[in-house]
Amino acid sequence: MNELDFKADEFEVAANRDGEELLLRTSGTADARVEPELAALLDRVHVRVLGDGIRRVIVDLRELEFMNSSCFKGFVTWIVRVRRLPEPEQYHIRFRPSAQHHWQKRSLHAISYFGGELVTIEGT
Amino acid sequence: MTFEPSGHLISVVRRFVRAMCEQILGSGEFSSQVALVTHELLENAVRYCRDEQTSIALAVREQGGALEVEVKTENQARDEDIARARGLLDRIAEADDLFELYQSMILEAADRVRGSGLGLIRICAETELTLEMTTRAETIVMLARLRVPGGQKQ
Repeated sequence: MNELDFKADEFEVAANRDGEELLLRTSGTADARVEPELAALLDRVHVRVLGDGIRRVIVDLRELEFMNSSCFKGFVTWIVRVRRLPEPEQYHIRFRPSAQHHWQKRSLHAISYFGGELVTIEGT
Repeated sequence: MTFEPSGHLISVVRRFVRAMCEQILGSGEFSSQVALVTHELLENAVRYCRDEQTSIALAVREQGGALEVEVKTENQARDEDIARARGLLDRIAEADDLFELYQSMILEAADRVRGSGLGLIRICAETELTLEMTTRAETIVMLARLRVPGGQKQ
């Protein structure tokens, strides 16, 4: 288990690096029980990405059954941190959604609009 | 249903509500939206309740050829929390463009240390449910309502 892997309550993140990409595979339910831990994890992701020259993070949500607004905010804070970097240091975040989990469509629309060019949603 | 705060129980209730709605409305977006609203309202109720008691009621009824789904939570809350919820709902009601308001509240949330302040706006901006709040003394009642024309399964 590396420092970017995480498991608590019903939420799990498995991280894998492949060249200039980092894949975060999420599963379960991200809610108030894991809100601080998710925020801390995204902090570690940010530091690792900058330190290791990673250019893109893929967040796989296909097995994520539900995410509450507090955890949603954790992703917002992360995206804002990337936006506030000098342009050459900014990296790309791509979300991989599931059509089965209908809530993802509208939540990701909101987050991608907010994230501008830094954020893309696969399949849109 | 009345229960003491527990994150695990909120997830159990969300899944139950979703499964029940899927039997009535199908497995499409409406059931997912009712489940989302249930979770957000319950987490708010649990987070801000004063006496560790939160109740939730789910009702589905046929009305004028449509199905109406209601999710209602009740809990005791502090005056300042009631005022904050009222202020948020007023801001939502006064918005000319709900999505634009959602975007500005997302930006405000980014620098918050505790909580997100996004639960109520998320309900209003990401679902078809309408949201009303009433108070009785120190009790806050949140009522979310979805009307499905024709009541057809998705």
